[in-house]
Amino acid sequence: MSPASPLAPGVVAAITAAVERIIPSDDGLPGAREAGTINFVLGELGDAPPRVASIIQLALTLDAAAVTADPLRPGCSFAALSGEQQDTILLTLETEGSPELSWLVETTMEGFYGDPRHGGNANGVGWEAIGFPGPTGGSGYEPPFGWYDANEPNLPGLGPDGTTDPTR
Amino acid sequence: MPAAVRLAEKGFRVVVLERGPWMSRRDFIEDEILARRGLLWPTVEEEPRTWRPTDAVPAVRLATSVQLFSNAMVVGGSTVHYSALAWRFRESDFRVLSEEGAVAGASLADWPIDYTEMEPYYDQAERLIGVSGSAALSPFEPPRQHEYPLPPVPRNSAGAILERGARALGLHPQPVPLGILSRDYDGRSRCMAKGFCSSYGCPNGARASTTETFLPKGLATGRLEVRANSFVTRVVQDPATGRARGVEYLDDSGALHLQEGDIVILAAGGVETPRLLLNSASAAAPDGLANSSGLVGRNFMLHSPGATVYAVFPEAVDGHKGTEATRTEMDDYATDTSRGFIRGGFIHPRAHGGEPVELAGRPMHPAKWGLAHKRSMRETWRHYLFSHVTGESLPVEANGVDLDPQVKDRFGLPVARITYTAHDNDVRLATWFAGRAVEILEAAGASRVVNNGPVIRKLHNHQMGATRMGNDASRSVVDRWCRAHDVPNLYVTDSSVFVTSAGLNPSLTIQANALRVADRIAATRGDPAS
Repeated sequence: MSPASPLAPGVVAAITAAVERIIPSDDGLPGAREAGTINFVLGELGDAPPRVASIIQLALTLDAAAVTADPLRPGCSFAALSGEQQDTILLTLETEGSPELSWLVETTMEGFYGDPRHGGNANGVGWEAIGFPGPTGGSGYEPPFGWYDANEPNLPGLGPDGTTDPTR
Repeated sequence: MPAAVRLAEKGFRVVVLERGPWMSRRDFIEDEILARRGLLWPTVEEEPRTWRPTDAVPAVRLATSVQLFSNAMVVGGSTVHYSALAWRFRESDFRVLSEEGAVAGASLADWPIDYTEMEPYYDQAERLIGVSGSAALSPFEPPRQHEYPLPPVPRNSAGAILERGARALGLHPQPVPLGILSRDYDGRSRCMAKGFCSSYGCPNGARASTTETFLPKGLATGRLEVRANSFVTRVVQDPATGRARGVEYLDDSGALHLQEGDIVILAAGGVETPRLLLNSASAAAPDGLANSSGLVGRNFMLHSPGATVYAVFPEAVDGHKGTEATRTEMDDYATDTSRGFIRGGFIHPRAHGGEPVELAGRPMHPAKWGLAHKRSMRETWRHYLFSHVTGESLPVEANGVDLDPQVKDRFGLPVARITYTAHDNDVRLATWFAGRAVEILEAAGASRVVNNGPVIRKLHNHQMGATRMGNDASRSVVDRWCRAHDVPNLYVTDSSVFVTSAGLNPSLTIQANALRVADRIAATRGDPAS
């Protein structure tokens, strides 16, 4: 599931579950799971010891909340909860202003919408999800670029390519 | 760089010391993660800065989110990544005190130079860097001897939307003058409209980075040498003569060197130039070099605490294509006291340039994560834009840059401590202009507009004023030729010399002024007596 990580499997499981709620796949479209976002997140922890400590703390907090959330299942972990239960716990943490969660949300976005060369956004599924073809790698674009520049009348003397100026 | 190159062309031997690396086009990758990790910027761990609102409270370290994007430290500096808006300041921008009268809490003054003196240098700078624009289509343009050297770059949808909204309100939309090539020019290729523009280096050299414009001409003289990874730690003053002997700098191995020179020119940026002068204190100049006025670091300006306004449109904007800002309106630039503030600014809706991670964190989604966020990302990506508002900030003497008493950089030198609270006028201006942006975007047919309101400015990439230019040596740091009043062979050519900020991007004015100063140095051979 993940690259070599200094984290205990239970910690990785809790963080993975959280990442997969931050960008879920319940709508049938690829989410963090399909994008391998957890690989990016764990990679970002790599050489930053304070970050590792705070992510372990976050996992412990999530698991502790899971025990409270499902008292009928003693020892239940965050990863074993339903998506709805997980969301409730994450929302509570967000309301409390958890900096660890805030970091995880930002890093998850990077690992879903950022360049695949860093280990997340596998096969560009994050870009495909929003309709971004990705960087052009040197080919660029020609106008019109969007609907409005194609349809809104331009300033006098400027043609559809934007630069046509017969006075020069 | 403009001053260095001009002097090399005039026969001087010039050494340029740059603290950062010398990057080339192939280093400029379209990768949002790399940009967020500071490809062009040192990290806050390497180069911390601190901020406090006033001197009554302790300073805190600036967060990465504030400090990043506040001026690259590479050969070429911020021109490597700037959005290249290439404005001339307006005539009134050089005489704000005369125009407006004194304002409580602001240290307004007139510049010791005027637009007429600057015009030929604006003209040269526009030609040297290749500015695309149209004076004929810009009804509020100041007098100019020539049309822009290049026609405007192709309009993007953000620009078309500005036009649509502005026209509906009876305003006069116009092209934004850009240091981005609309056509091949001077051996450089035109912009290929690939996105990843502002905050990124340009891989084909269409943006007017000084590494593409001035530097090749300087190197061609054989008299200009650039030493990258060379961090200047202090300017060394000869106590006997009061002249600058040269500068000390650390190379990338940490070895300390003295570079002597007949003339020393500082252009380290609006924060680092005053910091360097303060770090150059000596027995002869105990309060910092060139600081007999006590004004080194004072009157610091960051432009008005502009709101960013986000808007979603029913049809595709496709902001990942094209350059960022292509159209604006200047109707609201001049003072209109009925608005409740003096001075003005302009509104520039932008293509987002292709940064989905940035969109993910923007305040236009119903939630910060989860299914609703994911859906909103899908619905907004091709349909949204954001509008910056740039407006004048009034100088306040208490706003400034000094040395942090505790925090040191990686070399053990005191870092810059920024003390900054925007003048009330700036906040009123920013609030009004945000409302204007909302009005324009709604008139253009936005389905949703989110105004994030004025922000608390701690730092910004427009950093001005901290070594003010003036005729009175007791009320300014450098004279009208940007020469230190106290040190006859020491000059400053960055935005630190600005007396007021104008409501416009500063780069073209920095470059034009640097050319003006370099011509003066060449004409006098740096001899202060002439």
